[in-house]
Amino acid sequence: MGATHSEAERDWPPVPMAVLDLEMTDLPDQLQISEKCRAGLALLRVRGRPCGQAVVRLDQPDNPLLPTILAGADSAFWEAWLRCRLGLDASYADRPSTMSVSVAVCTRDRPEDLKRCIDALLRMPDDGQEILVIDNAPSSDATAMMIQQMSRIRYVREDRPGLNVARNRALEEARGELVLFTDDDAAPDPLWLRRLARNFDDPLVLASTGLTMALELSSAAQIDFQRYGGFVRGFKRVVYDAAEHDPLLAWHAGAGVNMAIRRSAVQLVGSFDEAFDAGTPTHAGGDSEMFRRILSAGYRIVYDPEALNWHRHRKSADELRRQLFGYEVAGASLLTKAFFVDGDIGALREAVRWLKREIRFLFRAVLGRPNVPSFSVSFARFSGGLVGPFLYLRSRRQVR
Amino acid sequence: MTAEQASPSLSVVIPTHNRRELLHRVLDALAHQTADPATFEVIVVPDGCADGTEGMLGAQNYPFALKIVEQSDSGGPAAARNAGSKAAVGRILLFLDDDVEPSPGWLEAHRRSHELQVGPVVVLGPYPPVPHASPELFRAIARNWWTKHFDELKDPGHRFSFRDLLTGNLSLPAEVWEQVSGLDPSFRAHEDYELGVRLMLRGIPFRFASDALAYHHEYETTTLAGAFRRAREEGRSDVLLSKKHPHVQTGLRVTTLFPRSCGIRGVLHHLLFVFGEWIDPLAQGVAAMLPIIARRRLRGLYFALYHELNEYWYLRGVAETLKTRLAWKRFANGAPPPHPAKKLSVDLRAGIRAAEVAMDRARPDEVVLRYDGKEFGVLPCEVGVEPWKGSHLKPALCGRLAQDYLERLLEAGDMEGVPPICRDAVQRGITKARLAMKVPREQMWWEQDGQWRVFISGAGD
Repeated sequence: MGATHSEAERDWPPVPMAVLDLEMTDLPDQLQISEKCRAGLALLRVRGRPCGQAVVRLDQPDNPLLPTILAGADSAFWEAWLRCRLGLDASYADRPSTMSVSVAVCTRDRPEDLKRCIDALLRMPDDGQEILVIDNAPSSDATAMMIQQMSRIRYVREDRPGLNVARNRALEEARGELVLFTDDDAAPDPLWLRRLARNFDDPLVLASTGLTMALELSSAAQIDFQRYGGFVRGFKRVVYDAAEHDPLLAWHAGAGVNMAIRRSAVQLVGSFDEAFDAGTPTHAGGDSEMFRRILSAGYRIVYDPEALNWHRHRKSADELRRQLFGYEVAGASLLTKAFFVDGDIGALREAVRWLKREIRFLFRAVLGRPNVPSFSVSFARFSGGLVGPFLYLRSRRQVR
Repeated sequence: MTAEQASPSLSVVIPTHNRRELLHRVLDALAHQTADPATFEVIVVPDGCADGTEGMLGAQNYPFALKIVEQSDSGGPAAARNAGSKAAVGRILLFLDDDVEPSPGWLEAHRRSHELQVGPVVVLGPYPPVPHASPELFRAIARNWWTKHFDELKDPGHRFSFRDLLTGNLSLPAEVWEQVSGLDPSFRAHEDYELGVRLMLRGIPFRFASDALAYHHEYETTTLAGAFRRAREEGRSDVLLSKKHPHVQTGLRVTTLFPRSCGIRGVLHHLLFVFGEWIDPLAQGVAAMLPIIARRRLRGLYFALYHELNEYWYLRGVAETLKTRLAWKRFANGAPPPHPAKKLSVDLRAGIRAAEVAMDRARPDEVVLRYDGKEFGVLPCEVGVEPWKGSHLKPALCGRLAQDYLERLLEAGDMEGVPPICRDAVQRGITKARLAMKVPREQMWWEQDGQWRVFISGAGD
């Protein structure tokens, strides 16, 4: 059909796919989508609240839309749909937070993406939040120039490179009790702030995370990132607590693209570890490493899927491979830190589990099994995990 | 001074045992209630205290009337509460633990709950752990138990059970207390459950007052060793409870643990029942290693050992009355099955509201749910639980019965926007979500991952 020749190398899932945002109580008769899209990923809302997703075919125009979506919806959607039908209350109110809030976007040389992000942030209701842009070791003053033309945005330049360095700067600069973080390649939903900030009534909650969906699925790499995990963390609210969740797996709670940190966390569990994340040899993981310390110290993290953010995934296969390599480096770095710095023997067990899983993936990729990432991706992950500990030690030396 | 002011209408009873500082904090919080201090009295029952609690009480000056009821030979908290309530003059008795610190509106909220209710009611107040972070794994487990417990009570679809009655933050009319003659002092644990069973039998409704908030300083009073001691007391008490109220036995751990007692575990249990005294030091040794295991963050091992030790001490308590595993077997197998005395059948086609009204009127033990004549689910009979009422229906339909209800709605053609020709596909979609709906699963993306798999493999459709 409409796919270009190079993208048609594999036929299914089709490329591109449409990204749909559907209100299920008021479904349109006809979808406004490009003809090229033979399938789509739909975010399902009930009365404005994100509550589920469906992966649907759009190449059978005779099938009515509603049943097509219902046939592919997940359990969280059905529960929300039933609650709505029975007239039970929606989960939580969307009132402005009683706490003062700062939003921080850490960026580096991506003015176009950043513009989209800021436009989305400015569509949020004004509850008195401040918006900070942390320009991290920029190679030009393009970002600075752009921000100058905008009102309501505070520009901060941080010359030491590193995402965690920029995050720490944001925590220092912010005036709010809560600091909400997002990335320059994301575009939050208008109610993102309120829904992320409402989870802090419990003083033990030091962080809250939200749902991050794909902004576009226009390339095979973007679709792969989405279908093999991506930022998806399900559609049910979860309170993470060390009694039920291993702090080593705190990354299950979410990611830095969509998180809020209580600023007092810096005093309680320490600031972001500058040996981690983009701009260092560890590539990523600064968020997970913070989450691990929060849970280990006996505090909590709330995952609230109604706090919605849209993220533009990496477009090319190369970028995706590098990103997934980086994730595994970060994962291994985290275990290395837990083991050597904190004497956490449980990290060893987790490392063995990781090794078993990745070897299984590699084998299945070699055998060409369906529903497994390609060999090159699996290999990138595997090698990332193996070199991770060494890269972490190098990163640590650099920071010191 | 009018006669009404002279005799307070509310009596707060606090048994205490060697917790002078905590008790001081609790009394201080009572001195700062929004309620007029002339309307309530506080009765402290020092139960064999040796830490100068009485001296502290004498030295303080409180705005409310304070009575001290001595209990010299540590008779346990049940006897202490009984003694305290004997000295009470109020129409409403309120029970607080000495480590439970009430919020300023606590008393007012309890009073209001009684005033709002026609007829007697048992008011349960929440006392979640006071916010306190600790890196210790045991603290996380203990905190989690309490947090979860009160979250359940808060759920609008919650059905109260005798297990919900805890004496740490509780109020009820003094008249009811006298009718049931208070707590049974022969229990050293679960005396609250036992009272709950009797109140349930009398049909006195339970009510959860979320605004009657108090904070539990559990991190200062519960310990790992204490948890195991308590497990043993609970084992002993559950046998006692089963003998006194056989109808609740099926729900108790002494019964539910037995089916697991087979194979090697069964042999070990034989040893536990016969040679327990010689095994105890080993169990204590393992318990002493738990903090080291926790520090090394060997979570899996820690949880496994913790649960085994807990079960061990519980069964040691059981073994004090039932001397052999064979006796335990007979006891567990002899538990009478739940028996629904009153059944109701409702058809939801006639509307949810009508079904709710019918349930409120009948207060059945079991409800058969139909839609357009066809049965699709049952709200089951459970022991020691309040009868079903209308407000339980919707949460049950959205929870444990969601799957069956949706399928029935679809089958009956009552799902708007789904033409008959698409029913099979939607039906398959609902079925795919089946497990997810029955098991509370909270982790991540496995369901979304499954959606992609189905989508990919469905390419040939």
